[in-house]
Order: sequence, then structure tokens, then C-alpha cells
Amino acid sequence: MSSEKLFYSRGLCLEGGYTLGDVSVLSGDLVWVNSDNPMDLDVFVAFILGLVKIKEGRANISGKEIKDIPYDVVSYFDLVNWHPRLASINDLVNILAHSRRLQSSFVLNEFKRILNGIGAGYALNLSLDKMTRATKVMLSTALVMSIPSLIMLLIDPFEVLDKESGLFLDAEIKNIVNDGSSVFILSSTEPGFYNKSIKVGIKA
Amino acid sequence: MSAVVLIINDLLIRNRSCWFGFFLLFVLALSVRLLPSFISDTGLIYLADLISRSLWIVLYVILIVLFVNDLVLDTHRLKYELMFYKALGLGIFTQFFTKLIILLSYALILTAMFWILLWSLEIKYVLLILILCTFIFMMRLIALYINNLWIYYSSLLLAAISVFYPIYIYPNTAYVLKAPIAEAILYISLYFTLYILLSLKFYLSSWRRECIGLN
Repeated sequence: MSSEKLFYSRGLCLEGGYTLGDVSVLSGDLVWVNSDNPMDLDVFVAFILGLVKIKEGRANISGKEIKDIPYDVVSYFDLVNWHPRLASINDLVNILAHSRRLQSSFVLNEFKRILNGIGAGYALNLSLDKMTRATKVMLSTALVMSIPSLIMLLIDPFEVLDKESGLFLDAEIKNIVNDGSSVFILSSTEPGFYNKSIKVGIKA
Repeated sequence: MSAVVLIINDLLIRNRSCWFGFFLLFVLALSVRLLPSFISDTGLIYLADLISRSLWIVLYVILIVLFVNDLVLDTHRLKYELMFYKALGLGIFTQFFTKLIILLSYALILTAMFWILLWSLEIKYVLLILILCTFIFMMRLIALYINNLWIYYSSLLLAAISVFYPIYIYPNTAYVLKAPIAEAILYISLYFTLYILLSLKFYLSSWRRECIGLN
């Protein structure tokens, strides 16, 4: 299977002096995004979402400028740091499916399957406000992986998982990258497997 | 559009205290209108009317401020909220205008309570309230940008005073209330456009500073 270049950066320096290492991510790559300061990983997310300007260098996704790519190319959720008030998590899944023009039942079934696989099936009956941080991490991971996208951003997905759940997530990620998507794992801890890495730093 | 519904739903659930204030204002306005049925002393009725109108204006400003504070989060949470909705396909502009429209809709609902109190429908008060709300929203964003909430509260106090007495560095309420409708609409639309542009500029700037860790 020929690999399409999904993400490319060269000599990149962003607003605020943040730098990204030179990297060329192909479809089917598993990338570890890391930084000395975990807060800097937020800048990477904001950059991929087209919210941070480039000061020097070049970067593109699928040959297009970051600001020009459709929003559904990237799948990202971080319920830990902020989430809207909702009656149930099913409402969020339905809105997510609708925003991506997908069938709600498909996304919901996929979401439940992954959530049960990583041992967080109990979260379906909980209110977001009453969830622990670990549960929100698992929910965010399941939400991202339930939507087919070219680029998937996972925030510390293995941090809160036990061995069995971690193996399940491993297998799911491998299925996703085999299908042609690229998965970016944002974490200060090195994951068990990856084939490329990007380091977010500050220009001296 | 569905992500816009998420913003609206989130705000409606979060603002329970504001909805209680809405109920309070309604009861206040209604009780004043019903007072003449129970009291025949016109002097007492006049005094009650005056006190309730003053109280209403104070409560109104407080409720709008509380509502704006919930619309515009602290800089740390604003960053994550922006990224959350951006991932759902809502750009910065859409998020900003959705919040502005929600604020103005809320202000109009409160204004409807004021009409019950006044027992009259006057468009000039609607226009004045639209300016006031946009102004409060703008000042909150400016305070966010320069990271100093005192700018917000001190200018807000002056804006409240301008409702009773014209202060020419702020929207001139006396002029707005007395000018013919056509001139009022002209000047208010100029203010409105200016405030939206300034608010948007500061909204984007303050977010960008937070997003890249400068705040």
C-alpha cells in the first residue's frame, strides 16, 4: 500500500517561539509527540487545529496549509480540561456524529465497543461532572477513536489503563493505522511502540 | 449547526442562578403592577414604583455581568473551550458570534420584564440595552486581554452611571434616549459595529496569547 504524506514540517517555529522538529508523517504512521513541558503539547494541538500561526518554516497536512484543511481531517477530544455541561455522554456522541455527517448509531456503537474494551463501560451512566480524571481520559480516547479521521490525536491514552486494557488499545490503534490513518500520541511518557516522534520545544 | 446547539445548551444549564434572577425580576415587575389593586395611596405607589425601577436596573446590570462572566471564561479554560469547539467544526468567529447572540437574546428577555414594569413598549430602551450588553461583553474581553479584571469592573461602574447621567466617553445614553429613532439606529449601529470589531479583535488576541502560553 503506497503511503500518502499526511503531515510535513520543516524548520518550523510557531508564535511564542515554539518549535517542532522536522518530520514527515505518512498515512499509517504512529507518532509520539512529546515535550519537556507537558503544557507545550497543548500548543501542538492548537497548531494542528489551525489556531496558532507559523512564524518561520513550513508545514502542511495532505499538501494543504494547516488553516485550509477541513476540520474533520483531525479527530481530537480532551474532556479532562474542559467539557460542556450535558445531560448524558450519549448527547455528546450524537452531536459529534452529526457534526461529522456520520450515522449516530455507527459512532455510538463504535464508541461503546472501545469504551468497554478499555474497561470504562460504566462511564456511560455517569454524568461528566461526576467523573474522575482517569474516566475522562478514557472517554476522550474512545471518542477520538470512534470517528474515522485521517489524523487522530490521543492525549496520554495509556496513562490510566491497566495491562489488559492497554493491550486492547494497542490492537485498536494498530487496526486504525493499518487502515491508513495516522495516530499522534501526545504524552510525556514514551509509549510502548511508535515509528516517528515530534518534539515540541521552545526556541532559545 | 449542532455544535452551536451544544454551546447554547451548555450555557442554559450553567446559568441556573441567572434564570433565578430572571424569575425574581419577573415577580418584582408583576408585584409593582399589581400594587394599585391593594393600595390606594398614590404617593406610596409612586415610591414603590421608583424603588422597584431602581432595584430592577441594578439587578439587571448584575445579571448581565454574571451572564457575560459565564460566556467569557477565564483564560485557561477559554483555551480548552476554543479547541473543543474547533474540533467540532466551529471556528473562532462562529463561537464568538454565537455567544454574542446568546447574550443579546438573554438581555432582550430581561428587557421584556422591564416592559411589564413600565407597561409600555419603547424601542429606544431595547437599543440602549443592546449597546449596554455589547459594551459589557467588550469590556470583559478587554479585561481578559490585558489580564486585569479591574478594567472591567471600573468601566462597568461608569457604564451603569451613564444609564442615569450622560458620560460622553461612553455611549451617550441621554442622546440615545432623546434622539429620533432614525438617528438612534444610525449611531447605535455604528457603536454596535465598532464594539463587535473591537471585541472580536480582543477575543482573538487574548485567546492567541493564552493558546501559546503568554498569559
